[in-house]
Amino acid sequence: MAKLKHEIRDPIHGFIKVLQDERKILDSKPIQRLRDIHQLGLTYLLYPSATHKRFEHSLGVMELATRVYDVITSPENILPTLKKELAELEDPDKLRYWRRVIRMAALCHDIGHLPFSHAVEKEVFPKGWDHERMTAQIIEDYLSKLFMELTPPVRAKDVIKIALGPEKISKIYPEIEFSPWETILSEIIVGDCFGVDRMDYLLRDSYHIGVAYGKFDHFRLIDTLRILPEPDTNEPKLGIEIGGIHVAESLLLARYFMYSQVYFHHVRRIYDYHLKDYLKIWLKEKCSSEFFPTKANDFLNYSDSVIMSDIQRSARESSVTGHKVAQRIINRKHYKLIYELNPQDVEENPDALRVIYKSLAEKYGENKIIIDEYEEKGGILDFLVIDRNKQIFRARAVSDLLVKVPRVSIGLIFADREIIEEARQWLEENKLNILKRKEVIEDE
Amino acid sequence: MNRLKRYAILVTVIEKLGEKGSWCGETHIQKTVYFLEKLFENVLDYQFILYKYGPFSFDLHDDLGIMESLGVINVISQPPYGSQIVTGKLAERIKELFPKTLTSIKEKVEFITDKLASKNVFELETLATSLYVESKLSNNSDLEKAQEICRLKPHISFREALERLKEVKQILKDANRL
Repeated sequence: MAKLKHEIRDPIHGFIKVLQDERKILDSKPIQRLRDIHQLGLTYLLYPSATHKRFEHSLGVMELATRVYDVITSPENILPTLKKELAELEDPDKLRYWRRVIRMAALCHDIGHLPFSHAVEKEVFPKGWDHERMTAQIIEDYLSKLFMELTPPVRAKDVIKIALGPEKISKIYPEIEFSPWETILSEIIVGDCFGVDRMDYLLRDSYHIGVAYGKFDHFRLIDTLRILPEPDTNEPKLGIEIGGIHVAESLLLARYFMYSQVYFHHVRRIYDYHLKDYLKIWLKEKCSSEFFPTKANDFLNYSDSVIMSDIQRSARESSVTGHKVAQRIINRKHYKLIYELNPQDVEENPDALRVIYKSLAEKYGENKIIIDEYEEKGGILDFLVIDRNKQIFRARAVSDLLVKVPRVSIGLIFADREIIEEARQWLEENKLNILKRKEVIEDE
Repeated sequence: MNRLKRYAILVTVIEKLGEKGSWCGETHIQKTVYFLEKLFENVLDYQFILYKYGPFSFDLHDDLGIMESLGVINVISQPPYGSQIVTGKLAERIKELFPKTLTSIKEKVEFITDKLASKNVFELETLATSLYVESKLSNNSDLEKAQEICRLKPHISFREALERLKEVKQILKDANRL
């Protein structure tokens, strides 16, 4: 007789439980492909152990999403005032249905990733496409029938909504609206503060990279999560019990350290740019297109090992397309950092990064200089907290750390190794004058 | 639009809301910018969806976070109430870069902050949701629109929805005179 429940060993969560009928989804091509998509792209060129894949991350997100769902829907954790806003909480059939939806949404949330994950998607997907839209497409084309074979059957559109959340859905399907219940469920996966996607990748990435600062007590955090009504409007949101405030702070610190030390490491960022350059050449050669295909069946044929074997061949043989850029990746001849944005320069000129980039590109040529700018998204950090007297307030009222934890932003400029020494000296001599330039900004 | 230009316009909105007595938390800014976009054809080009307290823009939400980290705005915690947003040390420097832009939108910002600065979060949620429904169901009756508002936001009463629809129509009429 087939087992009703399967357990998969995981270094972060111990065992991850999968139900028998969910095995069909787990064994499907879109999920199995994630075994060959590095979670952190080419980061293993800096941190050699960062070789883990999206497959185990997706399992981890499913496990955590289920744990959070079970905590926040547990009768002893539900405030009576919420029952009017969230009728689902009192309907056992609906609770069972949505539990299955959130598990599938968590498992599938990353299936639209390109080879090497996020690294390069803006320039190698057609306009209007990104990995979230690709995820929705694959669910519709490939998994919707399998979802209907689950018990209870699950609607693909519900999985897509919960996997992607209101922000992304609004860009793909602007006509779709979220109910308060659906908003809460999507927040469990993609939320700014307590999203389990982030919880799992912080824990998993820090484990594989070998750094301690990505860790936090996620067991305690999950136990203290609650659905809380916003005091002004009664609108339900994901918040925490006061006992979880310090671990919530440690999650935010973990996030800050992982972004500043790992995700935005300048060498990791420049490899992303070289990979993008290689893929643009590779796509023209292999797909006769500037972009990856967006038809689910075609898209699913591409994963890291397919691309990496071509990069290695290109690096070895000078006659093969993309030889020079492939060498930059394989032989570690990446562009080097020449400038990093800093608060003093921003005070001198709020557009400092662009004026410095423009000056360097004018002097040495655009192909020798790369600008990399990124601001961590997610708005002003704040969430609801409930104390022992059932008073609800905002976390900033009790957490000084929440106010002070910096947001990671980067402004980097890289230069080709051929000119790096000369360019560094030129920039040092001319930076003050360059910062006086204002003509990059248009005022109309 | 250049992001610094967006920040300069947002700084102006925040200053005006503050001058006119608004609490000026994120919801106040979200709803004021939503009205600015709907009444005056996408001054800032933010996309809004129906989400937290009515129409909500994730891009604006992200921008406010970035503006805080740059020192363009400061977020002041006011226990037991929510946070207030005020301009920060870099606000003036950003505004100085866009004198023409700020002159061109001055009247629009004055108009909308006059209308909204005195409102609390619940009133803003109701009013902005009413504008959302008014735009979406422009050909329907007021009763149908009020029903839709109550469906979207069950904590808003039917009578409240009808009142706010009336107010929205008046604001739309006044905006056309600008």
